[in-house]
Amino acid sequence: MTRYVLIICGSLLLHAAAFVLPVEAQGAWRIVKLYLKSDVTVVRETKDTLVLFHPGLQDTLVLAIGRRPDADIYGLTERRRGSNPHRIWVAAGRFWNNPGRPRKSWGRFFHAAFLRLIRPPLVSDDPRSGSP
Amino acid sequence: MIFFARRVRLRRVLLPVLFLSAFSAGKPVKAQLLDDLTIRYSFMAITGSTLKVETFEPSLYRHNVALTLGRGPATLGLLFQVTERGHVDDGVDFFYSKPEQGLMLTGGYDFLLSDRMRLEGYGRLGLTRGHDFGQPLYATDTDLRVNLVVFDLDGAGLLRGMPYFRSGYAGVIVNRFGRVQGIAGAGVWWNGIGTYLTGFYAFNGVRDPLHPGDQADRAYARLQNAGVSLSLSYDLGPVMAGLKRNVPLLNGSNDLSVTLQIRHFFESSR
Repeated sequence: MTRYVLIICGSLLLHAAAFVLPVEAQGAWRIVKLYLKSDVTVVRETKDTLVLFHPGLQDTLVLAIGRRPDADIYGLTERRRGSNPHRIWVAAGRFWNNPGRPRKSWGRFFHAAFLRLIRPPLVSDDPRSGSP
Repeated sequence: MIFFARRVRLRRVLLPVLFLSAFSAGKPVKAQLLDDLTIRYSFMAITGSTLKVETFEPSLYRHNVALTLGRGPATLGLLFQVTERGHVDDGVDFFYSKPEQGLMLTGGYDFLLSDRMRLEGYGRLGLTRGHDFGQPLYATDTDLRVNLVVFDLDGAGLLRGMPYFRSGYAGVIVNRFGRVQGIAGAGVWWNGIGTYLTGFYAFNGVRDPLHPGDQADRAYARLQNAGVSLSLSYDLGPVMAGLKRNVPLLNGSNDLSVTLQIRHFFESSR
């Protein structure tokens, strides 16, 4: 019985810790900003837009919540049965396939872990698919 | 084993459903009737039964096979349950190790309320008859549960470069005999690994099943129970493996479950 009490108490502490941990910023951008490299500047931040600037590249990157024509990378809510809804990040077709902006360059905005989370353009967003 | 001896009956029920699923999956994407198909098997070893102040040591193995079809926010499925006796020969532990089997129709619906909350409903309808609800661990049930779930859409923070997600829920389960259970849990998910701590408590029912009075025929169906369970899971693509330990605090069983689940998403749901 002592063993079960210890397991339950340990689990309670673990779960309580996860809920008590401080969340520094609110809104959709709090996790994305944790992935930014130190030399990247946030130029503009609203509830649904984040504009980033890299001084070395002299380049800007636009992230948005929801699919928008001006966004380079946008966030969508994915609902899959058996798990809670969660945000996914998708590259815009014109951005992903732009030879003038190779992945190596915009990869300098984020740490590698976030680059692995970015998904390729949706089929309907890829100019090679023939869809409008 | 009883489970394998009865698999013919299971096959009669599940094969037509599997056939329909495969037929649906083979259609062109736009003509698909289904978004996903889930097959889940769980094995539970029940090694202790706490009834008021007495603890018995039955030896029971429970097998659950569930097939669930999903479309949009709704699911429909079948759940087949077999409980077989383990290594007990006689005595009171033998009485508490009664083998049974049952088949249930299941259904669920998921309402997304906001970016942080959803409401899920899930019900089971017992299809087979002849169950002894006065026996512990009868193999079928008819109940309805509703949970309010709060979750992180973006994650709460990073752990080794990957976001971790917190979630919690609270809900009620009402069964056909009028027993109302409250249930609450909290969990953390990170990089495929999930852990959940859940507590439940029945607000009414038979508190002393060894002396049920006029409710002897349904003592265990209305058992006023309470307990805590800790579960661990690991997701690897369409496959999920889980481990769950249940510890009774009031009445109920001390058990360990192992679950294996395979979920297939058809193209149209991506």
